[in-house]
Amino acid sequence: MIIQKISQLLFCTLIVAAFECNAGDLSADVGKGANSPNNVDGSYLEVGGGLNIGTEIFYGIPEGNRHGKIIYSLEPSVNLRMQNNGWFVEAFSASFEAFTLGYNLSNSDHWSLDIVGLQQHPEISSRTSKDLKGVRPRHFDFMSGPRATGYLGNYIVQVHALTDVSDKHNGQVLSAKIAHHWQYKNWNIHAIGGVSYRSDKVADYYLSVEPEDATEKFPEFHAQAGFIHMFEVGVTYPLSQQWVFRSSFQHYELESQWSDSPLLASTHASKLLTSISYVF
Amino acid sequence: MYMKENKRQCQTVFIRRYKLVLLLCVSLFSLCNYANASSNDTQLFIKPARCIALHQGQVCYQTLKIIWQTDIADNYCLLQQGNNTPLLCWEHAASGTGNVEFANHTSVKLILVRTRDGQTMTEFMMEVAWVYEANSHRESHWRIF
Repeated sequence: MIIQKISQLLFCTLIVAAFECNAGDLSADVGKGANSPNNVDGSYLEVGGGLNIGTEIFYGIPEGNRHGKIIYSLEPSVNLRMQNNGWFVEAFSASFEAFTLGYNLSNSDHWSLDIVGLQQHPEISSRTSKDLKGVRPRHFDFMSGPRATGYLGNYIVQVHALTDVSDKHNGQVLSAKIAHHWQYKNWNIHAIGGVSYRSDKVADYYLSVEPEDATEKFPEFHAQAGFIHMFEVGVTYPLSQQWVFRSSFQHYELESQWSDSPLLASTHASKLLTSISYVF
Repeated sequence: MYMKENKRQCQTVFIRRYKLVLLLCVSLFSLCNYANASSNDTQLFIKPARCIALHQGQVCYQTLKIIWQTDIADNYCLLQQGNNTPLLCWEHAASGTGNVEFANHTSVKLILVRTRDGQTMTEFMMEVAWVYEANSHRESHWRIF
């Protein structure tokens, strides 16, 4: 029961994070203090656990979530990257992107161009939370498109242009992020700022409530295209050659015109994530 | 006369006791994860023996605790190989302790030298390690499926 609850929480965190913005290996790279693309063939794995404290944006995800509710969760942390002949898989728990599949088209000392595919939006249905009973199910999507990442000294910039290939909403997501890292003693400090655009179709599919589906609890609402702004500051510290400590604070601001969507608990969320990982 | 003799005896006993305590400390430190370098009758203990940086190529920072001991009292300095500026010096001493703020991006040798003739008494390799490897240099290229 507890394991099921934890796995539900983890799943919710990953999918909700995916909706809020995407940075994927940007978070992983800036946390490591990387100055060049990490896209050579090979594999890399970190496993650990940590404590997450904060608020979430979707109503009832995780179950019981409401406006301003602080959610505590102990969660496993998996950071993974595998690449073979240009094909890669990335997973970084503390990132805004939970899981990315991709193909590396081009790379140089400072730039990397990939085609990526990833889930961007969560399932919103009574299957994921009893709080959503009576809501017309919105299914998780799978979006694909180019991703360019530039490593310019201690700055990393990344842009995504994604389109839905799962035929769920046929919408688009465009995002741009900039990250910077500093070193103080053996602490690696980073900051990420970004903005992400959700097209009409994305916003409508996940946030609108059609008149025929409207209830007292979930009244009619029509969502239009909008932006999500995000910010993160964090630290990474090597406890030993195998163990790494991480802590980060993330904040998201969703388009204010979505504030009346009954499917959102809030248009802003903040989280503090702290973890310890073993690097294989 | 008697007073002088008594004072000398006291000093000798004090030095013996001091050496005993130092030897005990050195033995304890060697049991407590200090890295040991010895040459002839000189012993150098440094803790920790490794500095861990997050990423290969980053400067690694570490406060090192230094303990050394030799047979003959003289002037000694601790140097970093390739740098003539001493990290720490001791005058008229056969043993010494101190802290050094280490900052380097690669492993380096720390050397205890006798200052009057520059003789190396003993040396110790201070290792710099890291969690994440730097990516190897790659030529710009495009992939084709």
